[in-house]
Amino acid sequence: MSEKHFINLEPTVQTEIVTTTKKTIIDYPEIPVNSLRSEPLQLNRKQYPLCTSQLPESVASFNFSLPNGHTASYQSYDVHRQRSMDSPPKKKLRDEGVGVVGSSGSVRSPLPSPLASPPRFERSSEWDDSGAHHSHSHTSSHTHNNTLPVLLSFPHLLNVYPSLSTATQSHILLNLLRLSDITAIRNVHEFISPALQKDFVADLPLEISSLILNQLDIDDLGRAATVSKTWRRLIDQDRAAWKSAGIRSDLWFGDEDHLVAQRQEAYQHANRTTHCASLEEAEQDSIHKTQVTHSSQPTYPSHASRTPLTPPPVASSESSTPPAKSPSIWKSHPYKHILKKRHAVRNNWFENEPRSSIEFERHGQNVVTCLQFDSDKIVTASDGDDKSIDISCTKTGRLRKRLRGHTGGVWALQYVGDTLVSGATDRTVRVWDIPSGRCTHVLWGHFSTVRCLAIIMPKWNVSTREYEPPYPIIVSGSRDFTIRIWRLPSPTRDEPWTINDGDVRARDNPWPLKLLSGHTNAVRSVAGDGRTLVSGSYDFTVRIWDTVTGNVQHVLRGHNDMVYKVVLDAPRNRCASGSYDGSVKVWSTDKGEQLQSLDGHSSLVGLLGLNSNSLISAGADSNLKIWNLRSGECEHVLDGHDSAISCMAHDEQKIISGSDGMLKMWNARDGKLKKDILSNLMHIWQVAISDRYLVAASNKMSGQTFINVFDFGTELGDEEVEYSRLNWEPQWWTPTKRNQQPKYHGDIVRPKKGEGIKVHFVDSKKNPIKTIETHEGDDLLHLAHEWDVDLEGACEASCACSTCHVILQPQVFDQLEEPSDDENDMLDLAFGLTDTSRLGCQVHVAKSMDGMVVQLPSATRNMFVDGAKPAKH
Amino acid sequence: MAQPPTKVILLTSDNEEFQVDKDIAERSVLIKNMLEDIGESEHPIPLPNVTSNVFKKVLEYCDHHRNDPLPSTDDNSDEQRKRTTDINEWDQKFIQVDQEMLFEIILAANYLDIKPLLDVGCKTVANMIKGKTPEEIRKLFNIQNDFTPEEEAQIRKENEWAEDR
Repeated sequence: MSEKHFINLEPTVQTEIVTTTKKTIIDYPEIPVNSLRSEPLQLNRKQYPLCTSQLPESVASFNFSLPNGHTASYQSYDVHRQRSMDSPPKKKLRDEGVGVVGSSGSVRSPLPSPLASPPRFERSSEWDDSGAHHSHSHTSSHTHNNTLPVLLSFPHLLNVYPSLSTATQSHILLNLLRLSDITAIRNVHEFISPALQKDFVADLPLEISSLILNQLDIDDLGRAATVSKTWRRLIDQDRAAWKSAGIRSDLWFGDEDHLVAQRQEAYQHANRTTHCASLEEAEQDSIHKTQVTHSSQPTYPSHASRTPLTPPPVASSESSTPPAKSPSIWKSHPYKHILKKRHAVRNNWFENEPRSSIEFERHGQNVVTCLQFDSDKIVTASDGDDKSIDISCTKTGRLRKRLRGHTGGVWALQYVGDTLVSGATDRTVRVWDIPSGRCTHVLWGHFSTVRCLAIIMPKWNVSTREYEPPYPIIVSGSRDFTIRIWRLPSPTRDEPWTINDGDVRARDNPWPLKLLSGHTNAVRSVAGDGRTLVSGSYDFTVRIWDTVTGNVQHVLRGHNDMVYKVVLDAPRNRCASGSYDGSVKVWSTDKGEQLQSLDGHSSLVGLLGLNSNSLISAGADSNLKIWNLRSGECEHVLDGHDSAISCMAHDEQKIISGSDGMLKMWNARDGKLKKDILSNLMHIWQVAISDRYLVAASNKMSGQTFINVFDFGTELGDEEVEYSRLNWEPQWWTPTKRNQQPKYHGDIVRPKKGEGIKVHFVDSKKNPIKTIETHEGDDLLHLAHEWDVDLEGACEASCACSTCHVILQPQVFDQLEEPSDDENDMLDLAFGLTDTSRLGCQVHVAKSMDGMVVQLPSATRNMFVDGAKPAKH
Repeated sequence: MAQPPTKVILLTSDNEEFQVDKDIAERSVLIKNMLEDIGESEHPIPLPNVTSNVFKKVLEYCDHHRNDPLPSTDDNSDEQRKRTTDINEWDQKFIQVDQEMLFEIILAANYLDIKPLLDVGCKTVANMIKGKTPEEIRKLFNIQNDFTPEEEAQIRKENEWAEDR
């Protein structure tokens, strides 16, 4: 209501024809329609939702004609708006060069008196009459000519209107609407509809808007997140909404462990994104970078307590400060990242063509017996003449190393990090250093072909508080009916060992640990996790062993023929076996009972794959079957091959199967065939997949053995990092980043009293725990252990956990080198992070730090062993 | 059986009294609990968060659904999440109101604790959002686009993965 209204009169043009033409233009002062109340009306916006709405331009100002044909304009200005009006109107005389027409009127106002008070014009009848006489130019002038009196009387109605009852208001309005033409109605519609619109997501209480978001699918959520800042914040942090959408899109699978791992990946992704987004600022000042990193500690509130992570927007629009840019301050929920990745992977594999593919010859015309790869390298082994293990570049296919040493065909192979273990018909197990291609350890013992092997990594046992097995081990199964357990050597740290068993010196061989005998025929397949080892043998049995003691726990009988394959589902304490008898049996590993017998294949089941809720079996009967592990029912039969399935690779979303020269891709969720990847092959030997790559080994019709690599990645796929491979190695072999010798219990030499560097350990409330003295160079974690200060260090100082988190004094913190990216990543996961937090294992005491105070945090978060309480080593 | 249904008196925020059959009123868990707490009473039950015009609409819903089985309390299973946003025909017609009214109905259903109605309301809003571009959503709900063009480009990029099916 805080508006001023004016009626402007068009200038009168008077032309006199004398000898020259003179045109006089007279501007009239504007006539204020001043009877509107000067006080802006104070109306309640809830009850009068349009009270502050501005009139559209075309309605706020418009032209109309006067009875005498003169044109006038009505203008209303918002008082608050800048008025770009000229100085007061004045009479102007302008000379016009040319003029022919006679005078259109005398120089007088078109109105009886422009400055007269408005009431004078309220004599509408007069104007009606005169209007009829004077209008010539306007066809629809009849109505237009009523305009002025109506406009002048209108303010009165406006003044009283708010005081009318709702019924009266409606009566007037609706009656007016009945008489309004379509354009006016449209104007009305456009004017009032915003008042009846509601920003449901932003305006409803959070718990209700979350219910709405819960109904949306992934694509809707993605679009809705770009509507406004509020929507983006609410959607990106709504855990439940993403979960629901994930379930509906069939992208929600995996158990808790799986999710935790993926979530951690997502955290790291989120952190990395933040790092990138704030890179410009961060690069300027390295200390600042640390703070940025720390402040990006992932704290994801549950959806019930969604709070804006950004400060409220600054109201000033064009102040001198640059606009707060990074919208990436608030981070989306990890679920979104998980779904994003899964969605991209699914799309890439099912819907898109591979981004690129390469093909290269390898292993002559031999069978490829083993295939393992990562985004850097492909490791293949073959039977037959060449007896070699080849390391090829995943991107180019170039042969990097050829590992020579086995004197028989290689039938079993696995690598972790840069350490490769292979077993061959020459009865040896060999350990190789992949970068150099050297064979560093030859493990003699088996009397026959090593047919299967597995590397088992130490696993934290929450109840015994120990790693089991205590160090990485190799389990090898042989045609000599036995299984042997070896300690896994490090090719780079441990002395090479190539002494044959026959040699007397072999008595000192540190690598053999256990001999597991009991099977009465060849051991065909092994699978292990932590302390549990499963073996399947041609003696028709499956056995469960203890990797630490080497004792057999259970002998599982039930198959009527040779067992070809075992898989272990450690989190659920069960394993499955596939046999020549055509059945798949599921066993309990702790109770030693048969849980299910999955019958349906008509011949050998040689390939098994485990997903979170299902088991995939591939048989010589040319079928693949997907079994529901809860019910034991066969959910899908993948019928498309014509002969025995020779290889299979799978993940939660897809299954790749090879048979009779064809390689097919299936949807692991619904069992539908998605596409043929390769065809026209003589044999297909091996296939393996990652999120991004598919690698297959086959014989072409020519007989030549080929390796095919398909890259199903996108920009998103490029973020792929194989964390499991990155994380495990330093944990066991690289005690510190600085290449120092490992220091475990007892390694630290205590200085004499009064001679060392003093370190005060205090608890989270700064109460002293212990003051110790030490030498320069020792790290805080090991000092704490040496002096029994309760600092955990679950990863043995490998920068792979945050359990040795300590808080330093600023002056000490500043003396230290910048934390590495690894350390920062881990610190981000630490509980109660501060600006001067570091990992104790990375802090090496210097003389200048004498008297330093090391504060322990109130709690630690052990990502290695969820649920484990802090424990010393 | 022939007994006339018990009536309860409800008082909305604008002081309008409603005489309602008890079984209809008890579709609202809030009212049901209040009735249990106070027992038989001549006094009207105040509903300070609901206006009469919204309450009329809510009662219309409760009347139509007076014989429905009560919803189960455990409504969060994954199976439930999988449910589509289907709304039955009568409810669809019933909920065809302007956004302001829909907003008020949702708030009232939440306050009165009428889960099926809250569900219908939320699904209706979700259905309005589904399949629309951000610009269409803004227009539909009269939302200001408060992103700078650069931010918008970045955010669109961030979310476009969900698009290409």
